[in-house]
Amino acid sequence: MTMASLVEWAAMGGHGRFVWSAWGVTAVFMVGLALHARLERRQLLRQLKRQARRQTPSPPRGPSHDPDA
Amino acid sequence: MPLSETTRRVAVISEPADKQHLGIALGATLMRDLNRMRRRPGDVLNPLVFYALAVSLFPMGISPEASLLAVMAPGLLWVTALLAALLSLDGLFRSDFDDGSLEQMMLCPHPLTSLAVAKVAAHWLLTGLPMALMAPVLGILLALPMNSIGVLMASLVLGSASLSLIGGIGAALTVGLPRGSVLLSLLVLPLYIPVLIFGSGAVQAAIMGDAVLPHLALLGALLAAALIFSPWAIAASLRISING
Amino acid sequence: MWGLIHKLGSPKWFYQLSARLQPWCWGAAILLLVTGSVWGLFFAPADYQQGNSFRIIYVHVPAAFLAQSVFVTMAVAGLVYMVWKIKVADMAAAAMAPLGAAMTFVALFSGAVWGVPTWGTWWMWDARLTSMLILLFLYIGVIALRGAFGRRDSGARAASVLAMVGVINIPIIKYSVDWWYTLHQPASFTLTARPSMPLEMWLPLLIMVLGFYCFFIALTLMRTRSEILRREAKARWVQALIEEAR
Repeated sequence: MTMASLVEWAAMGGHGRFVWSAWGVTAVFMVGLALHARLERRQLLRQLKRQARRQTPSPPRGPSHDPDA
Repeated sequence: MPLSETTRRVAVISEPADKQHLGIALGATLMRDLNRMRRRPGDVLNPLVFYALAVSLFPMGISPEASLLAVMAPGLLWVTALLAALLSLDGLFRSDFDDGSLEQMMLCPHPLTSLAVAKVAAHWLLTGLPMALMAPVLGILLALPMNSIGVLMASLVLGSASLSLIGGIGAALTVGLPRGSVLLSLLVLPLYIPVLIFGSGAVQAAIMGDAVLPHLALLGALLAAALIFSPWAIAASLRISING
Repeated sequence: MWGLIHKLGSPKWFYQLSARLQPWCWGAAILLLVTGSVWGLFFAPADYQQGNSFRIIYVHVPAAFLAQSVFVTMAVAGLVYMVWKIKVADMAAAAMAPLGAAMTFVALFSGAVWGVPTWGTWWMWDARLTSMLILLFLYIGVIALRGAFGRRDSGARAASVLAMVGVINIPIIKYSVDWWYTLHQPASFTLTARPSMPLEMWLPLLIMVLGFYCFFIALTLMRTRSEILRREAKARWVQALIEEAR
């Protein structure tokens, strides 16, 4: 696959800007939605962790978890 | 002080359900809304004046040329009718919502669906029907060919009933929301599009000399479907708005 | 059967089940989308009449399919929520609405762009595009209505009612717009290629459609799971989950 033929393929016989703008917008939306969902989940988990940490720590249940004990 | 006839009839709504009483309850609800015209004529006349005014704007904004207006007339008359109907819908449930009558209607033993239909019927009698009667005059203003004026009225009579029913759903959903009227337009206009297409299509067919009956039949079918589905949707939406 | 439905309705069970499903859905989506894209952009032959702009079909058609399917799914989820009071159904409906709206926009944009080399115009009021435009407004309406209510469950029920009303209207709207379009444009040109597409052309299309659907399922699962965490934050199983995640 030579450089020239790659450029030729990208030009899409003169229709390059149509094909690539259509595909580009599609990709932007799909990748954007996926990234946003992941970001939302990460932020949510972080926020919930912070809230849990702020509450008074519960006393250890049952035997001590201290490995040195 | 003797109670007015309407008040006495409205009080009947709260009595235990009985087949006779449903009819009276519906009649009372209908009369109550129709009487609103006597007490606040502005509420009823505003959409009609808007209709006439908006139609008049188009020749000024586009062109007074009769041939051009005649082509645009069916669509213009229908689209402005849609917008005028939207304008009037906000008030459909609002005053009842504000003064608590809507909750009373919800709590009374008569089905909310039937009472909602009665209110929508009153809305149609006060808005849709007068618009349909006004339309011929406005049609003449827009150089609409005379052979289509009758069809214009018929399509608007049938279509505006659907508009009232479908619009009632949007009105019920947004009655409890601040600035709900803007959202109302957004919700209802997409649902209006089939009525618009067949309504203005009927008038255009009349102008071309094509068969008008299929269009009117489709409008009738849309009205039938609206009569079947809208009452449930309106009642469900009213409950959501009252509870929310 | 009812046991299964009630189980699915439990947020905790749904969360755990979807945890196992998710990686597969994402994997399938990525595999199908990459395969379909490479095939459609590189190896599929160009159309005889439209040339390379024909390749837009590989994003336009899947997006259009999704736009409609997501709305129907949303309406069904709304019905499940209203009738059986299953909250997870409403969470899923809320999660998928923005995706459906995005896909509708993508279908409109790609359709319009496709029109430029094909019809020489940036916008064409043909039946498909017009129906898509109306569908976009319906989506915006549902999303706006859900957000307009102060209480979350009121907004949820209102959005469900509107979605159900909308879904009944969609075939009516399509029929009326189709009819309207054929009346005014007797020589109708459909955006999709002629039905007799050779195998090398519609096989990548099928792969792309499947890929889009897998993407829809994967994304909706992820967003619904986040919503479950958000709403059930006080529940013991969520607290335990956060503990473990530290």
